[in-house]
Amino acid sequence: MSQPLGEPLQVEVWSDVQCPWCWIGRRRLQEAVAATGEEIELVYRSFELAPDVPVDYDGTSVDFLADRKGMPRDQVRAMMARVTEIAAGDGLEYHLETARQTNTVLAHELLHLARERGVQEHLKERLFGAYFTENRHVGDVEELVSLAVESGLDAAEARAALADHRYLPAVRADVAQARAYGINGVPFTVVDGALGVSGAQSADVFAAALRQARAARAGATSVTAS
Amino acid sequence: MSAASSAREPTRAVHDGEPTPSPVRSPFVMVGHPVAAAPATAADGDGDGLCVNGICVVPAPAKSGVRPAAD
Repeated sequence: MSQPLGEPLQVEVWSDVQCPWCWIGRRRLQEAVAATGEEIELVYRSFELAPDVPVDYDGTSVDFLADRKGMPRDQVRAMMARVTEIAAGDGLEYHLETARQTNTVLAHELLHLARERGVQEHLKERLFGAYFTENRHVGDVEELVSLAVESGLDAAEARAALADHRYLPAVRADVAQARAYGINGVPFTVVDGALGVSGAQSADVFAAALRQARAARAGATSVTAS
Repeated sequence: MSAASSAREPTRAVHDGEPTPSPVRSPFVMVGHPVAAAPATAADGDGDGLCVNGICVVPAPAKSGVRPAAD
């Protein structure tokens, strides 16, 4: 690690908009940042859990898991109930059984535009809320443009970016990087390019990762100075 | 941003009493407890699904950046 000691820690999170643990993990990371007082530079990387689902898939996430993945509906509902309960414990309101399953590649493209415009975190939070709480169609262009505008993006620019797919290569690059790292589950958090946290672990674990990264920088600085 | 270069053993986790491979075989120093990779289909028959134990997994390498179908 060679980042300057006093600079914000670099945090990358691979996640998908339709990943229930990813919003939970975001809350826990935020809690860790508050608890440690660390400054971070956070970048959300693209990861597609279901890249083959059509944008206008006619069904809910229950239908998707039952019909496309072969899971018994009772098992799907039980899994969702558990996640919903855990999310509530983190202050999040999930309506998973009525969530509208879709393809998230456009949402990821929009998140790359948002990153360039400095509003990626706002849009990420908005997309999670739109999908899990409001059950909006996060694969639909006009819905995405609406959410983009709420996040501070220009409607015309967002619509144009989604039309010409100018950020699709960036999405592909993130997915390829995840594959190169051996990541096949999200959220996956990387701190300062060296420490990894797999899944939505507790805020204490995220805090430990932040402190460990800061200590590593201090150690590197000490070695350099000696 | 480059990852740590040293190769490490794949992380392993214990779930329901049996060791299962982690979804992560990464170049990173892992912090926290290993997260078990959930079997992706009901054929595994153990009650696991796509999103359990704090992580959502994909069963196989996904096609990157596939354009959504128009219909």
